[in-house]
Amino acid sequence: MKDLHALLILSFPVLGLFAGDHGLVTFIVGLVFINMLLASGLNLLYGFSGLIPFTFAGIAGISAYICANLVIRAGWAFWFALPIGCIAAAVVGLLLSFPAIRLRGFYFALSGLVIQSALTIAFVYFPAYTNGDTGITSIPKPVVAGMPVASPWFELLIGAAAAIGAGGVALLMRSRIGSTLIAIREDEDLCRALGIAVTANRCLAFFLASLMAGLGGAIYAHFVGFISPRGFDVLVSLNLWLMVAVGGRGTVTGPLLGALILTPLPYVFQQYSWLKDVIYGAAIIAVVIFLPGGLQSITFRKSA
Amino acid sequence: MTSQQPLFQATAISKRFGGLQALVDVDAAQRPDELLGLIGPNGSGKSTFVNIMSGTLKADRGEVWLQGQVISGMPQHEVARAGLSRTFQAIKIFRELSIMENVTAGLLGHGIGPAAALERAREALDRVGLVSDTTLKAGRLGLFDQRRLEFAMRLVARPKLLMLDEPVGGLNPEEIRAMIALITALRDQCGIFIIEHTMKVITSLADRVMVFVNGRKLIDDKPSVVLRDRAVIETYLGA
Amino acid sequence: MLMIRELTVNYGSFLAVDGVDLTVNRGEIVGLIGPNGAGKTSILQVIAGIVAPTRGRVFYEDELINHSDPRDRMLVPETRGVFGMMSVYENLLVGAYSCKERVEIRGRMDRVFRLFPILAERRRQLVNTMSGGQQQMVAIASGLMGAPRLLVLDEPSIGLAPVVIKDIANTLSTLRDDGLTILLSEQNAKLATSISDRIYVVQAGRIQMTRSTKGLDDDPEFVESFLSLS
Repeated sequence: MKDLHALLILSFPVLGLFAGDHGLVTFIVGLVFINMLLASGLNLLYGFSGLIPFTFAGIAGISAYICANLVIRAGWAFWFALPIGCIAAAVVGLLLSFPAIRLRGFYFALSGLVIQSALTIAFVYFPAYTNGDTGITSIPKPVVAGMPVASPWFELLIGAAAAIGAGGVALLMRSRIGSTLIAIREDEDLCRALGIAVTANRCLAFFLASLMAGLGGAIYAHFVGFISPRGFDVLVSLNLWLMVAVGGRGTVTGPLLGALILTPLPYVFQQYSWLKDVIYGAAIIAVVIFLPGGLQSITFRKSA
Repeated sequence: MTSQQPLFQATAISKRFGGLQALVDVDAAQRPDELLGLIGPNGSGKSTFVNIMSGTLKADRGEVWLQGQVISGMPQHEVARAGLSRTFQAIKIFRELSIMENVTAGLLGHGIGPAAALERAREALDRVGLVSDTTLKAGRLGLFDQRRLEFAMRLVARPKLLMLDEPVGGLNPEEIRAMIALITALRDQCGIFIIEHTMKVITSLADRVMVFVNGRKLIDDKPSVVLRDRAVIETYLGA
Repeated sequence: MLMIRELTVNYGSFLAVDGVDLTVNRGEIVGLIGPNGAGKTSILQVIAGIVAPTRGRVFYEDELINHSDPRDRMLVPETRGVFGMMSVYENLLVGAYSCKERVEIRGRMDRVFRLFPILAERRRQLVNTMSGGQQQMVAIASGLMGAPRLLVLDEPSIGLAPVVIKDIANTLSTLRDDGLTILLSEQNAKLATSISDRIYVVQAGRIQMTRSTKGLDDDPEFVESFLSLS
């Protein structure tokens, strides 16, 4: 039943592709799918494993920059650059976070903030690779059979990636590893006493989530065509985190809902940017007070 | 020959926390067929000893063997996998997860597949006498049932030694009687080690009792001898 | 001093206390005994002003106190309620927060340290580095620091070594002789009856019976059903 809901939410943006004019709406659809993918990955860390990951956007950024560089400078095809970017991002992310993974919740979050800041600074101060604050422009669309992928196929492709990502997380959480991560989230000391290798499992979750961050980051780079350090800073991490929290953490549909609702908001209120912030703030407060389970708990009413 | 090998052996265990010497040169051992008790004044190092045995803390000096295997220096989860399970003074269960999820969690670190896990879980719940609906959230259980659940979570992994830290704290007399019966029934499953303050539990269950005072082992003998010892009465039981 | 009439406490749909009548006279020690989940903690929390009764009246010194400020009623909860990141000394200071006189606080602290010499030795030690039983002592000592006129203790003997329990029993008796009124709940029925002047037996949210502890030894039936374990 829940899977059906997830599929529904995943398909919803497709409607936007029939808007005819392949302009802003189509662009937003693509972004929604990218955020669905990213939010699902962040949910793996936050919702299911209980780790607050401030570094998520930074890791996505590593993949974006690597992928863009491989395609633009080294002339690689997107399809080969993509896996390299993802794995590199995941490995770097894991290496940077490894010392922090053994820390408890709050301290892990704090060190995440530091690492994210370091990544943003790295993006700015290695202009040879990142072009600094100016960013990298004219990132080409991926090429299939000699032709760059056009709308709406590109957006549908991203949608497929989002579906695979969400599906992968769903499958993982139903496996033994998933049960283990949930147990660690609930009480890590008890887990150790029961024979569970807490740190090793957390590293695995971090690596997998980072892969998804990398996937989303690389796709973003080639979809939007432009990347800069601002696009992968701590505010972006927080934004994704908000999508997970508002949508409903620890569920499969939660991040999908959150991405669906929060992604278009800045564009809808483009003329009244202050309104967008007010709405964001109100949304956070409302969800915290009235819907601790997130928006997805409205659709699934638990029996008493 | 294996029946002669001690269930566990700890030699010259010492542990210091800043300015506080929690344990000083403690030797302890348990035979496979006996139930060992540990009593002593508050702050005498009892829980610290269990923490060191279970790998939660590292001893400054000394070694621990479990059935001949060195476990001192192993991280907690590996000690648990080696067969030493422990419970905590304050009940620790996954309150938000169901009873069944709690018990099967006891096998997550032990590489047992889901079907076999379910089987073992049912068996363990049966042994501890927990008959509640297993889909219930564990936090809804009463105190005694929560303790039963704790036991089931350990038994499911078939430990060699089960160390219980004040298992009857907060239980009323009737429940304490039931707990004594339960622990007696578990003796054929695994070796049992108990820290307790309730003398009835110690005298009913323990074949041998160690007394810790100020981080040292004061005496190590049958309960009847220990509870009549002058120093024990003075420092621990009260006149 | 304390009179409770038809106290009912609901937590959502769960009936914890069902029409309880209870009296505590000044200078008495009253014990509540009964199994877990019987409602003892809820009753104590209402008296301490932590939980509001769903129905019923609580009179303290002839005043209706259902929603009032529990200034001289101190509760030492079962969960200890000590501040782990603070030292023993700091925890005791917190216990005396309503008192402004430094001399008075000093006096109370000396008294408490005399009762619990281990705490005197370790006054600078962080509480979360202490053993469970020692934390329990800090909790009780902290309650005493408030110099309440009614001291309410929820299962004070948990995790305490027998000699400490005996000391606390003596301490409570001494405090009662000095004018303190005490209400405590205990699983250790024998302990409760040995210090209390009167006991209430609580079960399933109701008072099953109440009696004075005088001549308890001559009542084998009572001893059998409630006191068979030390």
